[in-house]
Amino acid sequence: MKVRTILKNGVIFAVVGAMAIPMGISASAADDVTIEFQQWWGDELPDGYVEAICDNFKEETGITVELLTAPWADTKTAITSGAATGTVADIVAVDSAWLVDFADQGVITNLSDLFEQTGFKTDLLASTWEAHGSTYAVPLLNFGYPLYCNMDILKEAGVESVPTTWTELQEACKKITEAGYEAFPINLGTQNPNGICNVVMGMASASGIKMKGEDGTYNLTENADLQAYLEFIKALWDDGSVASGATALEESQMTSNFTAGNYAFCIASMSMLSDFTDAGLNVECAKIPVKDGYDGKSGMCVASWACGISENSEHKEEAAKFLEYLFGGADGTDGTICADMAVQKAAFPSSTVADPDFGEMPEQFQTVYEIYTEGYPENQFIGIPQTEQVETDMTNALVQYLEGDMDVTGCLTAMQEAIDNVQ
Amino acid sequence: MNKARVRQKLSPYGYLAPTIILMVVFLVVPICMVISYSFLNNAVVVKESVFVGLDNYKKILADSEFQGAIKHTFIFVIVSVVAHICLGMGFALMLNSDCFRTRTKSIFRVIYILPWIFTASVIALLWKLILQPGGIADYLLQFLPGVNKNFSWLSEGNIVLGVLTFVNIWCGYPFYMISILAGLQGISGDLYESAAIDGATGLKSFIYITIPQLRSVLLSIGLLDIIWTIQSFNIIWMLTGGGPLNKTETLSVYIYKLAFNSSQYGLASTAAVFALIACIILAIFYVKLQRKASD
Repeated sequence: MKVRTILKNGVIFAVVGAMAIPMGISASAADDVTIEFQQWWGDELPDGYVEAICDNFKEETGITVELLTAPWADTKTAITSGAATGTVADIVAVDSAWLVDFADQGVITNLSDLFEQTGFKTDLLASTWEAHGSTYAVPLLNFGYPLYCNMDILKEAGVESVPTTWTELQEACKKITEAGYEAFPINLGTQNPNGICNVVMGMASASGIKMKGEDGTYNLTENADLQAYLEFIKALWDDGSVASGATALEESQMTSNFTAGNYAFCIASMSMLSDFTDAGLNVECAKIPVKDGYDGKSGMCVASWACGISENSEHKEEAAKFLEYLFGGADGTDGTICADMAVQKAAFPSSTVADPDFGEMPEQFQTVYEIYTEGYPENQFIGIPQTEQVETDMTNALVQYLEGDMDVTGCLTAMQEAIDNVQ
Repeated sequence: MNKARVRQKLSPYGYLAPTIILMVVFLVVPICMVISYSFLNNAVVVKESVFVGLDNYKKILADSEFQGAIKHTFIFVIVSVVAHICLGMGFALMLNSDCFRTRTKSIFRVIYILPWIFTASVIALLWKLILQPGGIADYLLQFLPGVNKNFSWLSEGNIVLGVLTFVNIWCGYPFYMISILAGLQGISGDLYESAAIDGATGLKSFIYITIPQLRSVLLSIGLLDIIWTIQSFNIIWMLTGGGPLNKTETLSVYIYKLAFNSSQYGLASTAAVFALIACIILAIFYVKLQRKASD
């Protein structure tokens, strides 16, 4: 064979080989996708729990999920910095307070569009979080905020039964304060200004009172129900029924004080039940008292563990697959992952196919689950931009009203301004 | 020959290089980035921020909350620093006096320095428990007018800044005490003896001998304390979060809220630049003072 022929054939083979190698690489890369999941859940679940879910997902699909776990307080900063440098994880755990900001900043992608493109089984989702009319995050677990009652204090104060209406609550609180106890705490501290959401508007939700009108806009100044509700809170304040130090009280301090037996009532997360019972408190859970005469469905304020998918993710389809797996398992009908997580965290599943076995949960939990299923989950601050700033401004307006520096109309106007300033 | 000379001239910089590199990476670069963010709109949160010139500066200066934060910072800093000097001087004089035995002085030196040992989070937690309604403070101070067993020291708008200042004074005075004590022990006893012979009283000795001898120490630690107190954040944030009704919102808390509650990194950077300018001016005074002292 001539040298020239050998060289010509060699070049041809080399070119064909060079073309084949990337195809081989991409073929193996498609099987070897790794997605990152930034969350705080791993910190709050038993060791290895979330890792086991990811390992099972890999067995089913071949997709590796790399966990980036950080405490809740650091997760927002990690996501924001990641977004600025283009290194944010494919899936991010999202708090309701961050939703709109992340959507506006382009950190998380429009899930409405993505789910349509990928054929995501949206009937698995009991609820979605929307910003500007589109879904940007999906909650997996909801932590309800019921009314906790220290039955020992109620008994000593002569309160015979747990109050179910505003009038009964006001009367009960009066008896409790006359007996020398602190009755009803509201955490109006501004370090973590969630009291206005979880306690104040949580109590409003129980009576079907909403900040948003039926047309989807916020109109607090002409909201007669909300005005009546704020006047009720003011009445409790003037009676001395609101626990001392409310304007500097944070949620953690409020629950610590309730654990120590200092308060008769407390609106707090279901995840606190074990702390209260472990401390030996004689505690019952109840539906938050409703407005006298209200017989409609009661909303229950919830905090949630939700997920969004990063706009910058190069594996959005795989990320959506993992979300679908969390809600409905490998075949879209198996809600055991969500159900089991709900039992672990004493939360309520937000998957329509999750059927958690709460049989071994305490009686108080069963009561709250009944209240939750008879009513509806609601967080009135989802969808508001710069939620923490709005919560702070609304808290300040409420404090000024309660301390007598403002009338109720001024308070509602200031609250409306707080929302208008960010929209 | 030339090579050896060059090597000799460059070798000091070689020893300094690690420190310089670290300072550039962790100090100079972040400061320059923050200053650049102060001229941008939506810095950090969007990939392509818009240059807005001095708009952020105009917004910040016109913001009533910023003006309130400046006022609170001014009161917090001045009262804290003056109280630190007075308390530190008082304790240092006690520990330096001949009225007590050495053993007694050693024991009290340890006791007086305890507030300095705790971290800010421990201090905040401790004082939050002391000051909460029904806490130790209420129990001990019930005799005061207006104070009852459920008085909330951190909720009363009229006094909360004073309460925070008190906590800051409590945890900061040991630094003054130690520094002044070291200064006192450096003053020659002959000066006091001569003054005593001339008939000077204790007060006159203090005014005409102790204070002049401690002048450079007091000015140095005073300037440092002003810089540190301007930047003070942990205790205020953990005790009150800047509330109630922004009555304890200092410059550092204001910057934090702008950045992490409102995601307004451009405006937060602008406010931070004002804090930087204040600290630089004070630092220039400090350096001049140190140079004068060494001359």
